[in-house]
Amino acid sequence: MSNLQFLVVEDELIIRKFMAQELAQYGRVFEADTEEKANQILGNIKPDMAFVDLNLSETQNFEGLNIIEKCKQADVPSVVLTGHQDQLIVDEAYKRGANHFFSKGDIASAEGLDSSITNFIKSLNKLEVDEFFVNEFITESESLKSKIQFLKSQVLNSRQNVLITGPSGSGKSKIAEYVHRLINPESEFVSKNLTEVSENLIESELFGHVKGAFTGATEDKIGLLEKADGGTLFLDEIGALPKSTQQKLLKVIEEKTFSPVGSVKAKKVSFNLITATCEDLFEKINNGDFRLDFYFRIKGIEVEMPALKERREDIIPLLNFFLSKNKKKISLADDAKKTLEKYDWHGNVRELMALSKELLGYSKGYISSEDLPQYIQENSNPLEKTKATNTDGFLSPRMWEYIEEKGMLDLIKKIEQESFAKAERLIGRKVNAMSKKLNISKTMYYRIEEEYDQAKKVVLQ
Amino acid sequence: MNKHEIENLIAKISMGWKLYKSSDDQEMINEIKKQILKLQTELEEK
Repeated sequence: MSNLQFLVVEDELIIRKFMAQELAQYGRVFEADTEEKANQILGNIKPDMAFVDLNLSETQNFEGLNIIEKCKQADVPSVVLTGHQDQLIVDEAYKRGANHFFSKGDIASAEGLDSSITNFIKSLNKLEVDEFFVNEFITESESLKSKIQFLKSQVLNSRQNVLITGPSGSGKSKIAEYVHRLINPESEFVSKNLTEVSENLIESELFGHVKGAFTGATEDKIGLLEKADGGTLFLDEIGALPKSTQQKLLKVIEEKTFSPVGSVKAKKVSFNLITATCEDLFEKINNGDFRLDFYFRIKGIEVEMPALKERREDIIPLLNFFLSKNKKKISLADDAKKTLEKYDWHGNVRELMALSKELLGYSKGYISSEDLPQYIQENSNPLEKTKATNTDGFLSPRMWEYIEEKGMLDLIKKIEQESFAKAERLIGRKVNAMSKKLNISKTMYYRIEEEYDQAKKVVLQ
Repeated sequence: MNKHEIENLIAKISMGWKLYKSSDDQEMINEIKKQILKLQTELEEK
């Protein structure tokens, strides 16, 4: 440890000197109070770690962001020092390559920098070999890796509730399992997607119930809280939790006791809480659907998972990862890779995983762009298409595509022909039986029959 | 000054105090005095 070199970039004398004193026990400290001096030092040495204040003047220019970028280029891990709790600035620092974040207030009030630095050095050493990024969470995105690394150090440094946000299918459950393994891998991991539980049963599901608590409660039931005692409770889609239950769960988090539905007996419980949502909880708070106090209680450490289209460099490595789990070998042509990288992946990683299964079902082993589903080739959203057409009735996306291409009358004709062919296959060409089956008049039957035979002749010719 | 800025100021004074015990650097001592004065003024205003 004594051979380490640190760079401290901080304009405030007290903080800079304090950090220099604390860090001196680990190695040599280089100090800079301006961007220029920091650049000079970075030009001469490669520190093992740099602590960078984001604001080096009264002008709020955030010059520290440039130093973070320089550190990233020089492959020097950087830690943001800020007196601001402004999430946007810290996010920006992460985008530019920061690996960690210290609030100046925490530096003085904590045990010193000791434990944080030790943990951080440990986590840095593990960064390159972390099996999580090799075997479970495939990403080439350095900013996402840093974000997860940061989450890891936060989780290891303080036991707080974790809130994972991000669109559906972006890997929130994977992260929840990872956090659980970091905290206490030996303990129970209890997971529930709250959209799968009907509103009137949600309290029984969470708190359990006693026999006779309500109609149908024929025996005692242990709830999720009790199952997660001593371990981790992961509640996915927390936005689906009714407000009245939010209040009850808030009380459990604060008092660490609960009573099963129908019982007045309080039970003690202790668990790590991880929640996830793809909804905008602030919007729900503004609409009066989510409690602000509950939000602040669950959000201790918050991590936002990006949509797959925001990390397109991960699309092909992820697909190859899913394909490699099968014995069948699938190769992607360059044009297929380009098409896949352009597509917006509205269902995120989950949609990509589904495509890998579809590709494995193909008889071909070499996939070109033309072999991919039409909506991927066109970069259109199949979900939106279904939504748009379904509001108008029973039209399938394929039918709607046909209308757009050939017109509604052609589609009606096609339905007539295909229905006629199917009825013929089922019962043979019998006028009465087929008219009855198709619920049409004989006049109509003869018209369709004539057109059907005519079309067949054209095909045969 | 908002709550956060006051907390940062107190943190700075706390760091300064730890340094003061092991430092006879006059510039540092002046800086600590300045920060304490800033906090005093802020509290008097409240």
